[in-house]
Amino acid sequence: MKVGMAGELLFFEWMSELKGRLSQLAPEIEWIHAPSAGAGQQLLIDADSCYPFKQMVRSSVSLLSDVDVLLAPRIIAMDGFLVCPNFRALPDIVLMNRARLGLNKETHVFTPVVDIDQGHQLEKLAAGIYRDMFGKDPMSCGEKNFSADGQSMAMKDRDLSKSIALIGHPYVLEDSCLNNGVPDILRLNGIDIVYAQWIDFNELSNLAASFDYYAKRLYWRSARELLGAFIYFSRIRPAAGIIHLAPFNCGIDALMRVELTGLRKRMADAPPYMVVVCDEHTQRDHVVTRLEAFLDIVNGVKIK
Amino acid sequence: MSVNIFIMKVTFPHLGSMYIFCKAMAETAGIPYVLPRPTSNHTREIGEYSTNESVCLPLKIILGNFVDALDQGADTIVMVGSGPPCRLGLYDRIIKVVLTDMGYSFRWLTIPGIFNWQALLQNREEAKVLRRELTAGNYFRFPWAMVMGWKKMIWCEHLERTAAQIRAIAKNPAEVDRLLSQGLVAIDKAQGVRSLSVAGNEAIASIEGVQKTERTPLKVMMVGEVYTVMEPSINMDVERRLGRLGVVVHRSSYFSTHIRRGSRLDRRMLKDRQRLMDMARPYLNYDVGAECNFSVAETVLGHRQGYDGVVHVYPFSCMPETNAATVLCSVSKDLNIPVLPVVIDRQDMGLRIDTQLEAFVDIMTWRRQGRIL
Repeated sequence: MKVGMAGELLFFEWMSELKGRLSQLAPEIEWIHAPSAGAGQQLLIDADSCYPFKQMVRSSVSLLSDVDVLLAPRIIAMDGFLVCPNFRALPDIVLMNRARLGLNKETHVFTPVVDIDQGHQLEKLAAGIYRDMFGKDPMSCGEKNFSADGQSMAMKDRDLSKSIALIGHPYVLEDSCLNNGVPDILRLNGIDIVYAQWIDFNELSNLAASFDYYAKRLYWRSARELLGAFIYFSRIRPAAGIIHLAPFNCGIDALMRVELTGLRKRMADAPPYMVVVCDEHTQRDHVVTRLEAFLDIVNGVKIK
Repeated sequence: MSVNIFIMKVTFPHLGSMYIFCKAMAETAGIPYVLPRPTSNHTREIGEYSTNESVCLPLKIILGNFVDALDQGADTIVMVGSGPPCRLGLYDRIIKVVLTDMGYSFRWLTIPGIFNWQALLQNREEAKVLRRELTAGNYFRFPWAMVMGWKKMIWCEHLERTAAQIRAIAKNPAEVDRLLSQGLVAIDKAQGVRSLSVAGNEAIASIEGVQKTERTPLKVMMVGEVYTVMEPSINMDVERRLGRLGVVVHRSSYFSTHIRRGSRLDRRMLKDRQRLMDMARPYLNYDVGAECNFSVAETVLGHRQGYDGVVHVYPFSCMPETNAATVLCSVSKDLNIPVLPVVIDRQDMGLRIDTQLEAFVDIMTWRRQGRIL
């Protein structure tokens, strides 16, 4: 059975775990994440949406022609914190586009609600999806341990003083299409880079909690990750510089940029911090120029 | 070491006619206040230069209002809060950061927009210092201040609804605007319930008494993000511009609607909320947040109630409404009702809005005449 899920979604650790769990339950699943061709027509996605979201809708709709089952999860919360409201509407927008374009109506579209905090909830979710897909209960294949991965452990012994830390949404940091190739450009310049996602989310969330104030608690997971990572790379284990990759028009990042800039102003000896706004119209040359200037600042700080 | 000395002077955002409600409460309770000047381009610029391009316009305008009020001597900011998943729930957190960065000293009180324990505890904490500065007289008058504020707000909304109806058929729509402004001032100045009632009734009568034309006006539903729907300086005065083109604009929500919805105390509103969520269901199967589902539902409702079109106003980069805009493309096609998305940002010009609205009115007129389907 060919099952599709937009590749951009897999950069969420929980979604990649979900895929792994489903593969364990049903080894016959052949996963497809990159569509063989685009949808061919203009989709219904408002022009104001952020680039990653548009890409997720495009990938999901385009996958409809390649798969038997499309998984378009409605992601509400992960690790007990909310995800951007766009993800709540993702399945509806995918289905709307399918109806509008008259695309492959035989493909089943599953829209499970993802609200995961603990590993057992993931198990339950995977079992539910399996039941919907195959019409029977899954065979038990043992408990899976959800623990910090190797990268997270390796971070503990790493010297970050010469590294550039990249912070932002996981799909932006990992997908070269969405980040305008920033990590690659840095690597080409011989820079060691570290990702916010390499640190355990709970540690980042605890760091962000120091700024929570009753109801004024950052309720978005990505915002906590951003703030936590900023504190981690500037106070706990300072990096040589911090680059925040923000998709153009991301509502969460827009607010966090204000908060992080304010926080940095109040910090003594904070590492250089730069926001690179990524969009589908951004040109690589512009990104290269900005990164070069940033690296000059980083090196200048070191010389001084 | 510098010590901040505060002498309580409260301020609040200058949104729509909401300031009359806030002002009435402060005045009746005997609490000194500073009213920010009406929102202008300068207000927008303050917000724009102190944030970034993707921060939504309401936050920029509220920030600009607060800077203006703090410059005029206010020291205590009062703002209605909200909750997740929209950004509105964190406006106060972010505005505090910006104002502190700009070097202002102030105290803050968030009025819970959604009643939960966290919000109430926060309110208790924030009000702790302020409470010491209030006199027994302030406390004694406060319940009455709430009643007075609420009554004034209801009158303001009644007046604005009437103006929207009459403007579309008035011989001289500017006359309606003038009478509306006068009426709002009279309501604002009224000191007691009786004088408020007199001022309100006189204002309604004067608006209803203007010379009218024989035309049958077009009817449009205005849906979208709450601040953008309510505040003319944010929505570039869409309601008035349409009124002058002979269109009756029915606003999907008023400030009182949001207080009732947010408090969840009004059973009728709870039922209404559920009804709207169900109405949006064929298109949106989950609560996306803020007014997203309501915008979709009210468009469906507009179609059922025979409206000629729907204007969807929202600030550029608004997360829930961006999804609503996508869904409304589909709703518009399915139900064959024209929907005009008006995305607002600081850079917008009145002329662009006028051109869009004129074309929209032409489409609705031709449809009514049967010239286009």
